[in-house]
Amino acid sequence: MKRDPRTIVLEPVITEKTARAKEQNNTVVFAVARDANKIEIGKAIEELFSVTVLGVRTMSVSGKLKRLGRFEGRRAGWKKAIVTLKEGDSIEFFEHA
Amino acid sequence: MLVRVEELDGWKRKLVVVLPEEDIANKVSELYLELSKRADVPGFRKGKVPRKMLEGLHGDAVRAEALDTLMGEAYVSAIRESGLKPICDPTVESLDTELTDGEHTFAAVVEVQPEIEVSDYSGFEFTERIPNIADEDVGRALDELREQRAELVIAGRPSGAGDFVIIDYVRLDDHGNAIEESKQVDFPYEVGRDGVVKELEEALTGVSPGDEKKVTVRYPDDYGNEALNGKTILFDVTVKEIKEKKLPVLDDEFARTLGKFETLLDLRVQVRNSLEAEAKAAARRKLDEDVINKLVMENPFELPECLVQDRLERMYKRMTDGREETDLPDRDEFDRAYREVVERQIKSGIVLAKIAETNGIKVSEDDIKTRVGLVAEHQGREPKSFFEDLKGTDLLSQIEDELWLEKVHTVLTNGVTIKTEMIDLPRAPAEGPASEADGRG
Repeated sequence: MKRDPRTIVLEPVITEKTARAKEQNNTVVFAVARDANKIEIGKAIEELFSVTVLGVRTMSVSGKLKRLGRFEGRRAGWKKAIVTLKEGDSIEFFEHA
Repeated sequence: MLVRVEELDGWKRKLVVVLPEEDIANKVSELYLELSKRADVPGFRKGKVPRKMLEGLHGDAVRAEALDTLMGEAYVSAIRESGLKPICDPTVESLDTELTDGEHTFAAVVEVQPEIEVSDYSGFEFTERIPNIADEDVGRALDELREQRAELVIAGRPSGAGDFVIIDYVRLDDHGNAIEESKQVDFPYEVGRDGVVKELEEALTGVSPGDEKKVTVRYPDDYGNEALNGKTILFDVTVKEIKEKKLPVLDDEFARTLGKFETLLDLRVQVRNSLEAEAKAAARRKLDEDVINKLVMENPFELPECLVQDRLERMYKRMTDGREETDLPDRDEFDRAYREVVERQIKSGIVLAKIAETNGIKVSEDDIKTRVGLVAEHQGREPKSFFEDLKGTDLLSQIEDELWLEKVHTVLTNGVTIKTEMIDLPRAPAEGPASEADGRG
């Protein structure tokens, strides 16, 4: 059974770094489901944003270690996907004027 | 950039102004530059947020603000360009309602200072009515002087109307005990003067020193003192003395006590002169008023609404200044009641200004100095230091206004025909022998 693409692509990562990457390499960065693979991610993005995906690179981001007094804890880890789009395609988040 | 000026009804003028796209774009960039310094967007340091992102987040607001600022500036320069003299804030209306790119057109509606023509007034005729000063007027003035100089002397008889009864009194409570705090000693009560409290009036007529009385006073509901309205209160009153007013005898001696007079005749002459001068000044004021009223009537024009509103507003503020919130008169009612007065005031002001303008009337520094000198002399002050004291105060501008008004009125009264008439004032009945004779006839 095919997964709903929305359960694969969770949210965009919008930072100075990703903004620069978008300008320079035409890539978009998302937080994705931890169990999703590159192929699923690429397809989900193509479906959601009607773009052509040229490549997907993924990495696991481990949660930060946080402590409150003597209690130590860890934030949830997540999976980051850097998606390269075909030249001319783009995904706008807040930029739509 | 001013495109055109349309004349609407009354003194309303519509300015149509176009803002070129270039100006808007420049302003918008400027605003973004400023915004980027303070915009706080997660994932970005201050000042590092991409312009495109800011546009997406705040684009409409920024453009609206740019337009707002530019419209203000453009309005000011449009007014200068058009040479109009606005007298109130404009009502601004955007003609391009969409916040789209490209040039932006807006209209500003203002009311301008009325430009009026004052028609030729040289043919107008006015009558100045100066009342004659009769001997009895002089007599009455002298009587007033005597009244002011009256001495109180012990009468040595029971009190009557016009006497002062010196009393101690104390208020009694319901059980007839004196309330110490209410005690008053040597209170002079004038019998037969106002007589608001008639019980006291009755009780203190025909008393002699040493008399003691208990007086029940029922205050009227509208006595005007919250604590006393409609109350019945018992007073214990002790009469200490009866004093009567002793008027000075009208003779040379009396004249000398009043200052620089040698004889009673001197005083009479002086009183008569000042009464006549007063009557003349009053007649002149009335004449000035007649002239300006006539001019306003002969030169009808519409007033800009905002001028009237503004004046009403100020008048309302002045009259209600310091009053309780609950005590304020209804604003609409106030406007209705005073609108006519205010309109007449403003109109005469505009007509006078126009006449001053056509006749080149100006108040010079020297004029003011001369007047200040006169006032200083009158008050026994050194003119120079007096002038320095007045500098920067309202008084100086008041003097200037006064001089200006006098000058305009002089030009006016010289420009019209004036007949002077001496009239006898109608006498008030039951005052003076002349009216008594009238009463019988």
